[in-house]
Amino acid sequence: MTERVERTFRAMGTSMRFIAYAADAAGGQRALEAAEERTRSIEARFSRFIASSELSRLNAFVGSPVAVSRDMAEVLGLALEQHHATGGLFDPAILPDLERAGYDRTFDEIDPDAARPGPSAHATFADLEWDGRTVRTPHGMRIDLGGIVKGWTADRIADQLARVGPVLVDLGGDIAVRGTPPGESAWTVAVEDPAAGPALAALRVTTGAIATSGTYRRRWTGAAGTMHHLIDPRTGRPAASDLVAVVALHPRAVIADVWAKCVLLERPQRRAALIAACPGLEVILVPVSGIPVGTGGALARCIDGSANGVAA
Amino acid sequence: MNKKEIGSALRRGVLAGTIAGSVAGFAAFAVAPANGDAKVPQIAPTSVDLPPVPPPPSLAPLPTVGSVQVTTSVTLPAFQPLPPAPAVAAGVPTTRGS
Repeated sequence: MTERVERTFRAMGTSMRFIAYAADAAGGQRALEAAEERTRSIEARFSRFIASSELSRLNAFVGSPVAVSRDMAEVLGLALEQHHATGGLFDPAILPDLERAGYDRTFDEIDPDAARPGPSAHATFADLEWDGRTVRTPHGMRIDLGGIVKGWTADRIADQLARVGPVLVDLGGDIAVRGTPPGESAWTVAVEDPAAGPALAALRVTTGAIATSGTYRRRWTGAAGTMHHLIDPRTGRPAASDLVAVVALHPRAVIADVWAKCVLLERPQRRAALIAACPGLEVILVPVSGIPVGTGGALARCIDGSANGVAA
Repeated sequence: MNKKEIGSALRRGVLAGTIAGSVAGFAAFAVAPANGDAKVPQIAPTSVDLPPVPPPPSLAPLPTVGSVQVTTSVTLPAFQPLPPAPAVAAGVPTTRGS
């Protein structure tokens, strides 16, 4: 007999939820508490809004070699790998442009009129000097790892909680699952409608991860116009995409997290080739206008609502 | 002979000997220069029969621009509309833009 245990909290500027099926409820709750603690310690290391974080110190020591922690080394290594794999579309070095767009403080504290006009000012992440343990950021480079850390954390926490039993880890919409609920063949995960309507889809997920990237959240309007948090590294400006959201499915949450953004940023005529370049990636594209479409693997996971059932 | 006469005779002798030696040496060099020259060895002309060079391989005609074909193993994904979504119960985990 297994017990369903659940924990919700806020971290990394978003709501988080862990669901697990454990052999005993008390042990399951302790595991979820430990997972929350682990999530908060990751936030303390990688947040650009915490002055004492390792990332803030890294950004402060421009031009000087800095020895980094094992976690930071892993994330920086992954980030560089994904920077190259996406042809530079994933670029954590866009922080100066993100701040110029007005996102220079936590989202809850954004001043809509803080956006400053001007040319792109960011360096390319490929110029990071990195030997696996020591990093040196060249002049002009400042890093935001917000585009990869949530997915990476979802993988870590899901692996940690999988020792307890089947688990679903939801970090603000980046979802990783391990195992399936007792008596079920899959987890059900809904896809939010950017237009605030009913769910666009309900997916059956047995293992792996789902992440969504969209321009409809974390956006603000001020004197300089409407801004959002997805910076196109080619222009240094919030992306002007024909898509409002991309849902990415992949065995690893960190890959789903990164590629959901990049597919949204990519030009329409090159999008299919970009998706094909990432083995195991399936996507749902939600256009600004028109009907959502998906790749074969994504469609195969969609629960068909023609029978008027309720997905639970 | 006094000392002056002895010295004078010596000087004359040295001078005369020096001149005579120089003339003799120059004459020996000028008269028989070939005696001091090494003979240049003469290389006998040789001929080696090299194996015949094989003819160049026959090449296929170069493709024209119009006939070049690029093949790739990457299959681009096809996109299809999503099926109608079912109603979703409250509390179902939801992926959303972050």
